[in-house]
Amino acid sequence: MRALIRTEGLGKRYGNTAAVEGLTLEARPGEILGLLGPNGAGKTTTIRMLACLISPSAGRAWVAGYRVGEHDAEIRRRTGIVTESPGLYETLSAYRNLEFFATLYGVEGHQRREQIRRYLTMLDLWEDRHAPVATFSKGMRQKVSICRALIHEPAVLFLDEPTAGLDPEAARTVRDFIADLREEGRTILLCTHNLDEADRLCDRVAVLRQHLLALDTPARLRERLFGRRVTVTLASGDGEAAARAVRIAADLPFVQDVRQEPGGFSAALRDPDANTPDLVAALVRAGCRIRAVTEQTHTLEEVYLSLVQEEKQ
Amino acid sequence: MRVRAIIYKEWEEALRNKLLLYTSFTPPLVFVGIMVVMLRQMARAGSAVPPQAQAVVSAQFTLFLLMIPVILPTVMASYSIIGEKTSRSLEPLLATPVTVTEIMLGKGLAATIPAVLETWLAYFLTVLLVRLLAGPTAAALLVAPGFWLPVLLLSPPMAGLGVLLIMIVSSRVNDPRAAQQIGALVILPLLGLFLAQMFGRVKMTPPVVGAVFAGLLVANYLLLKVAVPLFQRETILTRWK
Repeated sequence: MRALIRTEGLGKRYGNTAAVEGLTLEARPGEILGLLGPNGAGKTTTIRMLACLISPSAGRAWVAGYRVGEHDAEIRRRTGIVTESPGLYETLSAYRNLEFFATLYGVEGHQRREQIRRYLTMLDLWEDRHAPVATFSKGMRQKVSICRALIHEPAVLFLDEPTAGLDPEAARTVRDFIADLREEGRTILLCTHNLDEADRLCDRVAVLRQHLLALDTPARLRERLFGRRVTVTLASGDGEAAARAVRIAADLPFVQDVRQEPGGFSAALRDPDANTPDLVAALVRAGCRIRAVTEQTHTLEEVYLSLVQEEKQ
Repeated sequence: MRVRAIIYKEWEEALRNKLLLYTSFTPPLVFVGIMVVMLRQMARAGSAVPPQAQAVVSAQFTLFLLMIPVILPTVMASYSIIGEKTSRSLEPLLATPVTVTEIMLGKGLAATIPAVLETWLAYFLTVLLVRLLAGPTAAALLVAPGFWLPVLLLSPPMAGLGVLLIMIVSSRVNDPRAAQQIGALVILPLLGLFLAQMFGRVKMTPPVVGAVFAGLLVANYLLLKVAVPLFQRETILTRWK
């Protein structure tokens, strides 16, 4: 399937400072690609380059099949952007804000009215459509800015911190809505500091620190950085029983690494899904009494921090 | 269509801005008041007012009325770009397919049209009030071609020139006041022209007014050509804080 976002060695410099360097990635239709990285890592700059707001200093990029810098108007027609700050016209109503942007995107007449009604209803703002945006809560404003980004049915969406500063309920509504947009087949580039959100929403994540540190699914990044380990907790829990269990486990051919831990041990298995029952069976046969077997999980935050720390060193 | 949408949006925002409304209506009312009072005094003086003094008053009134389209749009025009930046609405606006020329035209016309209409309205109001309060002789001064022709014909390009200059400046600075001050420089050539008229160096005959009008149109066109490349999306988005 043709990628709707593709970059090749994309870079941006401000004087002697590199904001983004040699960025190569792609996002396929119906994919949410997360852009993660510390402040100043180049996430917003990347989004701005792809949205044709600023021009790249190096490399090439294509969005919705059009080359950035050559067919900017075509790209703008096919993309929507939610900026870090909602950036709405405060004295105007939500309806008028959307009507204005719909006209700029070439959505006219009946279609415009229908689109405004559709999105304001979907995000539970229809009743408040005539109230000035200045009277809205931060969550409501962010919802209006999401409606604005979608009013012309873009194939590609750039979301820059869409849930930043929202209360948990509003953030969840926005997250659910973003997940629904993926189901509609839109390609979404999601820039966020909320790693739990990225873990839940993104099909793949790109970790940036001026250049690309890693690009993969959250699960594969975890596996690559930490491996998949199981923790075996023994019923007796004394040091001697644990040492014996470690020796038994270490002799098994599919066990790659064993570490004794308080109350039991942890082991890296070649294929945890297939090998865990064999490990348990071998331990039981040897007379070990097992209380629990759990797979160690690592959060995306641990993955992210590990990547960023590694880069710093 | 996009230019029209920008114009309507600007007007809708302006109508909700009380300060902008006050600053839009106060100067014309003050100028109209001054002109009516002065002409009333002249009418009371009867034939004592020499023709030279009448010429001076006429030139001064033309200057008053032509200052309206230069002064009025300054606030609206300066806030139209800087306001978008400070409210952070410029980034989503620039992410749409709208061109810089359309933004400039939309915002420029939104500031220019009300200023020109107010100038014309101020002129007609002055004629009406002078006719009512000072009599037909005093009003005759205002309906002479040397008076109404510059007011009606020159106010649109004068306003356009001021607005474009302010928009160029406001796309390069962060402070609306700086843009307003620089935009107000348009008054200087206007002052020069009418000082020349007062001292009898220039007479506002229809051919002279036509020539000035043509010159202003050319200046507007050239300034628009300069304004578009000076409006740099990237600089505005990345350097303005």
